[in-house]
Amino acid sequence: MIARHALACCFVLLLLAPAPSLAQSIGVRGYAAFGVVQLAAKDTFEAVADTSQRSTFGGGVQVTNIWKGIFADLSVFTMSLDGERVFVDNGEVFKLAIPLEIKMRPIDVAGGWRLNYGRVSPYVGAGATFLNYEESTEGDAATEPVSESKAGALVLGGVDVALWSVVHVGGELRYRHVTGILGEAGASAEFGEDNAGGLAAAVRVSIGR
Amino acid sequence: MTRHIPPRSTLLLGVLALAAALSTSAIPMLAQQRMLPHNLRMSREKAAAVLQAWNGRLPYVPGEVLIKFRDGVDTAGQVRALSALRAGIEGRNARWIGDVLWVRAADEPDAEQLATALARQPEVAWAQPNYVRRTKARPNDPEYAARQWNFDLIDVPRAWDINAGAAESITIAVLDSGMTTVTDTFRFPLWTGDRIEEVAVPFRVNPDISAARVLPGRDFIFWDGPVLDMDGHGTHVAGTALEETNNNLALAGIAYNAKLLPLKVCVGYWEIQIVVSDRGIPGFVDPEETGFCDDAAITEAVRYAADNGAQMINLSLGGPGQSPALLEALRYAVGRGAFISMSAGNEFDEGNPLEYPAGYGPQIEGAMTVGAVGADSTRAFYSNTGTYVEIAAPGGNPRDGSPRGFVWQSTPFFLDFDPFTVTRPRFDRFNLGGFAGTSMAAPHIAGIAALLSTQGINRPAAIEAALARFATDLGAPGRDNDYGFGLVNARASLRGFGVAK
Repeated sequence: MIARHALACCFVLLLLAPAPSLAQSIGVRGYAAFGVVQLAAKDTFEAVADTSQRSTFGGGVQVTNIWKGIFADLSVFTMSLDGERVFVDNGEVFKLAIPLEIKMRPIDVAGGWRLNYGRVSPYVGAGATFLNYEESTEGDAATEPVSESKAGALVLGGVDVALWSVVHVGGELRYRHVTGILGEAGASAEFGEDNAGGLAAAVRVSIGR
Repeated sequence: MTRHIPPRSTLLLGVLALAAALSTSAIPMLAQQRMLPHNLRMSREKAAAVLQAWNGRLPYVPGEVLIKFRDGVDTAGQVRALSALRAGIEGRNARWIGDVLWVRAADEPDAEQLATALARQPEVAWAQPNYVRRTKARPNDPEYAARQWNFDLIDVPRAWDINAGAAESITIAVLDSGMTTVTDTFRFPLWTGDRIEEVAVPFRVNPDISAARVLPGRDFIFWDGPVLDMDGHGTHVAGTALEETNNNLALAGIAYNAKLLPLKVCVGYWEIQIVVSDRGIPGFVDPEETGFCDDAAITEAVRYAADNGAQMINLSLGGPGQSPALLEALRYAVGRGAFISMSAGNEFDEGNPLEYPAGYGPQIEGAMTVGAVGADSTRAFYSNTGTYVEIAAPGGNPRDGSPRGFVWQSTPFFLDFDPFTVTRPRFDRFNLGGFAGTSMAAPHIAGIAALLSTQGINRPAAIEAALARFATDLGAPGRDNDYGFGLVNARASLRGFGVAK
């Protein structure tokens, strides 16, 4: 739902914007973002944490106009969930009252193409994400916590609107697909869900050119 | 089918002669029943039948069958079906256990033949002999030991970090030789070598299970009085599941906050000796026999446990012969929310026979059949194997040659009632008893099931699924006939799933 609304906004902004201008010099902008992630392993996270949506925040740096509107983007995000360990039998979830803390930190490296329609600047891109995933329970023995890092694919798209010459606000969607962490054990295996990524919708504030 | 009574290896002649006579009620009984403060459950005929089974190693109680009538059969139909028996059935020789009718036909001792004849009647859904089950332990000479390797092997101490001994609201029913529920002295008639005497026999509640956690229980086989354990097996089995922990005394039990519902369905040497002496029969009964538990008592007790709030039922007993009555009782109990743990049997070296109720484990989601491993996590030499073995737990392996060959719990001091050396037993002193057998394995599962139930997995089928899912795979990959799904892992079962692991 979030993704659909965000895409619709981007589309409307693109329609309303003036003709693109590509002849600009290379710029650098830093940004902070705050948003919501819809985790792909929906059933798993709903079993463990009663929700598959979680707030996320992060920031990054984008080098713009490298060549004809092409940009490079490096960012890091973080999110965490508190839930409890479970047992799943034939789809029935038994909560075990054992607190479970989950932390996910994706580092995204992307490239893309940005258009400039005056104050409005839509963009799309793709790249790689390196997801650090941790889950732990108080009192865990040394071998019991999970700490895994895996690479996956990333696509993103959004739009920035310039408020002043170097201050932009915008909306962005990022979809991460990361396998190799979930799906082999734990509740995710019981539900047959192996994608540790998901779709994030975020509001961005950027400073820079 | 005609059954031949096997040779009687150690039968004492005096007992045999009088038992045979008793079966026809030819000899008036000595008036010794008044010695007892509570009525014995065994009538004169039952005592004779029990002696026959005991001395003859029969797989059933002679003359006793369990019958289920088809739906809709009225009383007239039931009476007609019972007319297949040569003699009529008096009221005291028939009793309802749920919807199963227990019947004794003294004129036809071959219970298998009786069951076959009754099963042919159109009104009868099934009929079975009242099979005899036996407890599944190999008693050891008593000695002190302080190691509970068995708990470490299946990660119980770290499971207690998650759930410390289960909730007080959990009740584990142990259907066995009982666990003494009163500290008292009873006077029993006993043959002391040259005559039958009234012998004062002291009993004591196991000091390592808090009295507040022991429910009154019920005796389904010996007498109408309080539950008494004159064997030690039931106390040992209950101890593994429930013995007091962190009290600086003796040893630990897994679900040490849960309540024990001791249900006596088995008798050992001393109960038989008392019954025989009470009936005025001189002589010692065969001390080689390890005791028995009949299907009528087990069936009734399983239903009783389910109806009285037990969430776990432990059955460390078994024997040959299918028992539809027992199967239905097990299903009834699981349907009422009770998880059932059953020993697989100790007869691997004696032909590895399929035994019951162990054989029913795979048919019931929520009932598990438990094999035994030694301290080295390999199958104990005695532990039966087959498609019905669902999980393994520590049972000890006496060939280990060390104290780690046994499972140790607080039990009545064996030398106080060793039938080979004692004529005046006492059951008021306890020490650490080492036993080995699938009997010892089963209560590990019942105890861990109690922890699981406290933790939130309270549906019997889900408890079974969790225990199987988190067992440590041993033997051939996946489920196999030696270990089932593997060796139970208490901590892993309790931790359940995270997201990724």
